[in-house]
Amino acid sequence: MTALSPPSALENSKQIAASPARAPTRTRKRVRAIRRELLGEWLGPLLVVIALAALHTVNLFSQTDGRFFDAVTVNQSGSTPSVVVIERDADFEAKDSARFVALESSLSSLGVERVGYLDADRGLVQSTSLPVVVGLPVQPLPENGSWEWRQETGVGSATPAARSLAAAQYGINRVQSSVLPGLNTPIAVFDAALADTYPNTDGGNGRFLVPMPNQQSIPVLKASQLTSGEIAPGELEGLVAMVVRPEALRGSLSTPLEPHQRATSEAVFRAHAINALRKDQIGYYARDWEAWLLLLAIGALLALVYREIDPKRLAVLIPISFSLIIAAACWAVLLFTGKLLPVSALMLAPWIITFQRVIERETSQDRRLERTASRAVQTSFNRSALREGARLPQFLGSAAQYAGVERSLLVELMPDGKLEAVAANNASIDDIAIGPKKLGIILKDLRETFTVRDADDIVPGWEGDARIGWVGAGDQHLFWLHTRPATTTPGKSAHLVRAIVTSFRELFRWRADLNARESQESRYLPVDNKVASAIALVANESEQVRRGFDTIDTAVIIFHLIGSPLHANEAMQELYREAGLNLFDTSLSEALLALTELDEERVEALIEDLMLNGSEMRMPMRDLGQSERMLRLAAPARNAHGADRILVLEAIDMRDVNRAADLRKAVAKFIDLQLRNDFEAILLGSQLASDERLGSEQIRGVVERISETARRATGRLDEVASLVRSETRDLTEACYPVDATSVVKDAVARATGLANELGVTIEADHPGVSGFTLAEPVALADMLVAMLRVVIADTPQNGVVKIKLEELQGRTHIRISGGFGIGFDRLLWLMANYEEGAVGEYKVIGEGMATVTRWSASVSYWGSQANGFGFNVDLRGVG
Amino acid sequence: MSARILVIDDDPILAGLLQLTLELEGYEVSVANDGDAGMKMVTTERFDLILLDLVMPKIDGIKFLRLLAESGAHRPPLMIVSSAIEENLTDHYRALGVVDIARKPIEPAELVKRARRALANGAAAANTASNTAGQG
Repeated sequence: MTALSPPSALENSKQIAASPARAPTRTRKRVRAIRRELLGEWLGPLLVVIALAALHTVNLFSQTDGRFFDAVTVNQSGSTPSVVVIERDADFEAKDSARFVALESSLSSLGVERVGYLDADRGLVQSTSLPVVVGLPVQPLPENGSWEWRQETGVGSATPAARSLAAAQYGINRVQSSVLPGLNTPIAVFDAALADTYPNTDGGNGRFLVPMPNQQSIPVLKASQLTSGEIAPGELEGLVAMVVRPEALRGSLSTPLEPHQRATSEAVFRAHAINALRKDQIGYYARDWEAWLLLLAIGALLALVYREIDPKRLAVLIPISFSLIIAAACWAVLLFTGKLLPVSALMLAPWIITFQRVIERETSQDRRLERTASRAVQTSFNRSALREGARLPQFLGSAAQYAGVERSLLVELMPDGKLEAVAANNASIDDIAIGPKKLGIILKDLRETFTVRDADDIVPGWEGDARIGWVGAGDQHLFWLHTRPATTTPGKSAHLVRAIVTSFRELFRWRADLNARESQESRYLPVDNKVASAIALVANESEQVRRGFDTIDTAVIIFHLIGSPLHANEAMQELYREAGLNLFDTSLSEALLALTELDEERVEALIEDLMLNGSEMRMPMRDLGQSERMLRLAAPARNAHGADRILVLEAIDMRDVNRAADLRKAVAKFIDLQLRNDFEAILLGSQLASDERLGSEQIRGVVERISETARRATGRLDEVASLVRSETRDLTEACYPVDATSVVKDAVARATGLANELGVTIEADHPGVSGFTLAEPVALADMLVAMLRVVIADTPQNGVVKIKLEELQGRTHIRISGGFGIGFDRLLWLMANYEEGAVGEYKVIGEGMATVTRWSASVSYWGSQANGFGFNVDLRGVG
Repeated sequence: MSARILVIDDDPILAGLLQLTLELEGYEVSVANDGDAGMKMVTTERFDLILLDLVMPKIDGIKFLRLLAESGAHRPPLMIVSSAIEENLTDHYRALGVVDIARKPIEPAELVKRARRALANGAAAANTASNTAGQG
């Protein structure tokens, strides 16, 4: 039978009424979720890349970016030089001023396109064959950041150019400028003027990076060689010539070629610059907005990646991969376009963003863990007597008292060194008779060593051995003084006291850990510790609940909403074993299919209905063994609409229910039959008392009989009422007026199968109509069946087993006899040791013998080999 | 001569009150407090009617009926007066010589009336039996 409770109209109206109120909550939740997403997933990476871009803009990464540029360009292959360096050697310098005209004439004939003098001493010689550039010193004007010539530019028809070098980057010269800002017009820098190329780089200031491949050759000739015609015509075709003094060829600069020593000459550096300018191979920095854009893009990309992937899981792989890809991309861009991207910032971004995301995830997880742990503890302790931590000390005293501790005192050592009594049991703080200084040393030692010591010197007034130990946690220093337990089993009691103290200390420590949030000013506890304490606390609580759960006779299993089993008590585990079900992987629907006669469609409909509407339903359980059970499936209404809803499956043993019904029926029958007798007596008595034919003596006698009957009736009702009350304790122990003949008939019927099997006859002798006997019929019948079976089993084929029910005044005797005979000693042993050795029938008889004593009944047995054996059951009769 | 009635009931109060009620109607009434005592009285004395309770110690009412049938003693009309009447056994009771069955509690007047009727039926049956025997 299935009892379904449709949701009430009231419940429906509640749901409807609750909907508008929930709407803003949903919106708030959504807003919170979006904010969390924006803050956690996007804002973090954005801030990181903004910071990196800012640092890049202020050139914080110029050194590392420069190193990257060096690494890429130094290993490039060289190309045909487009510049030749001419050294003004001593032979050349020894000649007169006409040597410059001769040199230029030679260079012109050799195919040189332009000539540049790094020094300004060429004079006003008019060159007829080649464009000439002359380097002149310049000086900065600090007031407006521009430059001016340091000397008059008297170079005749030659082009003046600034002989300047851009500032070295952290000691390394790799940057050069093409122009300098002048007062009125820009001043061309020597290298760019000689190359006749002014790149529009670096925001228009013409700054560029000088690639200096190792393999790039820079030819150096002596001026005298040229003027003396040693070089073949056309040898220097298309080149530009940089004429320098010998000092300019001495190493004076640190460049990418030899970054650790000043081994590169100014002439060679400039030659590389001129060569790069002429061949359009210079490097240049990405513009700031390009750097910002790139960094923002990489930040967004990483944010996207970490939306999909747990940053903690791939915390190393992702930044490494990104860094490699970025490095390769920057390398390619530099190689093919000459643009130096903000490689350092770009390569740092994945690492910092990953770190930020991991930290944020960790923090968020910590917060969530803490919330979960806190909720678990609250849930766990909501129904617990230990919810109030402040009451723990009282529990300690009470529990210890049960263990036989007569006096105890829980004291707290305050920060100022004073002792305060927290809880006392038959004791007072004044009992402490030791000085504070000496006591302080003892307490410090106890706190540090976690030991327990004798305390007779501390509380000499206490009778019995006193002990003291530290039971505090964290900053709270509690000490427990107590007498040794005074019981008849001191060993057991001492063990119990130790268990109580350990339990108290753990509970106290866990609570202290969990409350650390409120007192973090004085004490910091990592969330891991809190969670560990919470888990320990909840696990401890769960274990205790589980044990309690197992003591319930009813078989119960709890399912999660999705139908997976959460917990089953021992009775249900046994039931699953009987049904051949696996406790761990049997779903609710599978369990119902196996335990009931319902088909799949019906089971699914039942579960669906229950999940939707809550309430409960009952269904008969398939027969398993001898038990008769009813299944009750319930979704607790309190959680009917909660996400943490559970489903409870309970197998109710109908024997208990039937017993209760039998009890009610038997009592009703007893009252009916017994009171009928009494009513009859009262009816007759009343009639007679008013009969005129009776004399006064006779009437007095009748009235006395009426009174006696009334007293008897009242007494019977009281007696039955007291019997019925015992129903609430244990139905098998309860006894009530039963028809003993029916019980005997039932027992005979149940034993007949075995008797027929063994060819034994059961002879039953019982009254045709039975009175009332105080017993519990199921337990009595079980015991009688077991007695019959052991006698039948011992009876030879064609033998007879007798059972006789005799009802005497106030007593009922049931005698079972037969069998070949078991020696009395053996029988005695079997009865006495049924718990250890014997099984089956003797166990039932033994347990029955213990049970019947609660009905004011007794069982005796006798036996002798070859003379049979038997049992006498003596029960109390009523009515 | 007044009719003799035997009341067999294990409740002495009720048995005494039944005795007094019937005696007031002019009957001679004897009481037995269990089936065993009743059997002894039936085998040694002659009664015109037996009022029988069913639930009794030692020998209950049904066993009494069976033993009486087996004893060969004089069998007067039997009237069951009991609270434990099982309807499905009515035929069984009648086969054992029961002429009337009354469930307690019963009005005293009704009890007397039914006892009188049982006695009359018993007397008629006895007359028929003696006539038949005389003719034979």
